[in-house]
Amino acid sequence: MKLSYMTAEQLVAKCIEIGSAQYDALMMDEIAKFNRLFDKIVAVEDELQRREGDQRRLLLALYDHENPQVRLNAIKATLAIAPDLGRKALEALAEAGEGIQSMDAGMCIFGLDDGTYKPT
Amino acid sequence: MLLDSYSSGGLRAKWLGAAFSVQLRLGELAKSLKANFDPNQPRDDRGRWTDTGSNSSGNSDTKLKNQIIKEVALLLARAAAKEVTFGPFLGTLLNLLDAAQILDEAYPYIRSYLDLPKSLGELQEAVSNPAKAYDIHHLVEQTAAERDGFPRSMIDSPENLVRVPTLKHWEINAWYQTKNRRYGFQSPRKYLEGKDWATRLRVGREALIAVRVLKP
Repeated sequence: MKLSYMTAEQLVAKCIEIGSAQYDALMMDEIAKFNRLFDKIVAVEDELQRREGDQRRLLLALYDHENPQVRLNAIKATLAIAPDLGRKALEALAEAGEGIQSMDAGMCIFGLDDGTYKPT
Repeated sequence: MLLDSYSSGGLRAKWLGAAFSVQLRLGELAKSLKANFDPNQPRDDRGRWTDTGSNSSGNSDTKLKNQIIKEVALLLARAAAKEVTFGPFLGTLLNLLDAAQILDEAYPYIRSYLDLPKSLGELQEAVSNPAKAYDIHHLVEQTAAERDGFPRSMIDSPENLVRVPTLKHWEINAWYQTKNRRYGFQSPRKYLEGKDWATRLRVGREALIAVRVLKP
């Protein structure tokens, strides 16, 4: 189904599906697959952003998701609309011992602090 | 409520739930490996089992072995981060690795993964003391730097070399290759193309801190 035909809830479910697949791809050293999935999830997040009122806010519910890649994707996709909450979630993930996802959360914090990362 | 799971007393129950899930998967993986185990299977220069050489048991088993090691290391790292007591469960994990006949190979990698962060000086000094389950890592990525015209004398200088746990090295390398919103929707490696030495060094140092190898 085309993304534009999906409900916002279906798009959120798609984010969980893709993020989980990205996690598995990293565990299996499948970098190319991870990157293909990255392009897909960016398209889903863009579709949510296009919806009236910027429906990316629905991704805030994924801050508690058990899969760290799903969590990380949701945080980074919502930093522009929930900077304080997103920052706290990034800090928590950076400290959580979740491997690459914790590492990337830490790198995002460096970027936010020195101004080189400006979420949109 | 958002973020509650990060700060509440329910962490232990949450971790144990995740641990049980991993335990089940590890059991399945161990069975598969045991059925196809070849003690002579070659490993690459970073310690990962490879399918090159005489063994032809299939690509999936190679990935499974590496996945098992990463899964166990991550599980213990999560426990350490959350200060969860995992004593009895650790025995179960070790038994599963033993059942798959990879405990002796896996243990040093898992142990080094749990090293506490060190100073830059300590990591640089350790380069002269190679050890199993540790790799020599270039703070400024060597292949990309060489491609952009930086001399080997800079790339291989003592200041640019550190000894890091092998599994952390895998994570750093994977991170450099994966697309990322923070770097303009491209991989950090791609983002750093054409950048000066100082920028590459800053990212390299931050990566070591973020992956908990270097003290902040």
